[in-house]
Amino acid sequence: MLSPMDPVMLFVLVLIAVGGGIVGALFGLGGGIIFVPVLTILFGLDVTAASAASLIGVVATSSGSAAVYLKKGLPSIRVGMFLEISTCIGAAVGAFMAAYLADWLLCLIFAGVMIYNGYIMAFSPTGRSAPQGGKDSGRFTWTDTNGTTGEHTVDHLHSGAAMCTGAGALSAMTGVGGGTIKVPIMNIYMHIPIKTAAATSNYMIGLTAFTGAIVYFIRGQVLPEYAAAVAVGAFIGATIGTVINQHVNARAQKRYFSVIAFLVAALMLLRAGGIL
Amino acid sequence: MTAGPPENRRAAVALQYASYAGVAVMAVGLVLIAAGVGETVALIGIGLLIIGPVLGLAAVLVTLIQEKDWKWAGTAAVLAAVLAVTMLLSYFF
Repeated sequence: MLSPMDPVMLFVLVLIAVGGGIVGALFGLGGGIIFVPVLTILFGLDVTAASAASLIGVVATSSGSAAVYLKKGLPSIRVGMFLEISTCIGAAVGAFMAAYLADWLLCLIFAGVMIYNGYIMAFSPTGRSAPQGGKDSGRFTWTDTNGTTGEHTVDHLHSGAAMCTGAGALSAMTGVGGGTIKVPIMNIYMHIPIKTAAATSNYMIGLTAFTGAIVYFIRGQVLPEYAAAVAVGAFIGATIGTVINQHVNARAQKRYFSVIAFLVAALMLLRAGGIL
Repeated sequence: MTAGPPENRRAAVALQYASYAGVAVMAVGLVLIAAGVGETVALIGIGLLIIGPVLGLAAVLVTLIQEKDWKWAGTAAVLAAVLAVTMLLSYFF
């Protein structure tokens, strides 16, 4: 087991968190899928302490990249706020349910969701289909990757929000930000472009993570040396990731996202089987 | 360059100031922890950082109220209320 009290190990943890922050910013994730395994397997923290430190890192990832994306007009705050209401309600319900479900079952549920997401992202035809409009759609403003700001149609607003309730519940049960669930919902089901979906997800994750992080913080369950190292690294990584994101092809981004989803599914299946 | 709706800019500024302040204080805390002290400084930095998303939401709410966009101001207020209730429930249960 590594101890971050050693200045060298503190630096190693910061470097790992930089990697987590880059991945988080690129794919609209919080980085929790990297922070939690690193803190539990490499540094020997229990899941509660790792989750507390991870959530602080997730807030840092989200804040670092969301601030940049917001200035560029990429995310839709209004879509994010609308979906976040049901996500937070789902997260509260999920946290309550988690106390009654076995750890292996939670891992199995999460792995199933990751495999589904990875499959959809890897094999969906040519990305999102065109918005259809209709009763459950709305018009929202954001800036395209070509720099054009305009109104766009978003489909399946209420059913998408209902799905996010499930995403919130699953993320609370499994201890990650939930970006791997929310981005496909927004991209494939609500017909929001992948970069806008990832940027909106980043904005949302900060609010979701705050809810969990503040509880750990108030209860004194945050280990400051681990949390600060993860957060500082994650913030630096997220800043780098947002710069890289401007130069990555959207289709390639979806393919990489699917690889991450399959890897996470494999890790969670190993954990469900008691191997990790 | 700032693009998109006006609430984006204010939310970005709130997030940026809170995260810069939090990360700077945490970095100082990490250096002090490496020297054997500084846990309190790191905790102050963590507190500054995690309050950022809520400050961002508050900035959005104020902007929407100033624009008299009552529909979306209401959405922001409902979200703030959900966050507050969730925090309270988490705290007591």
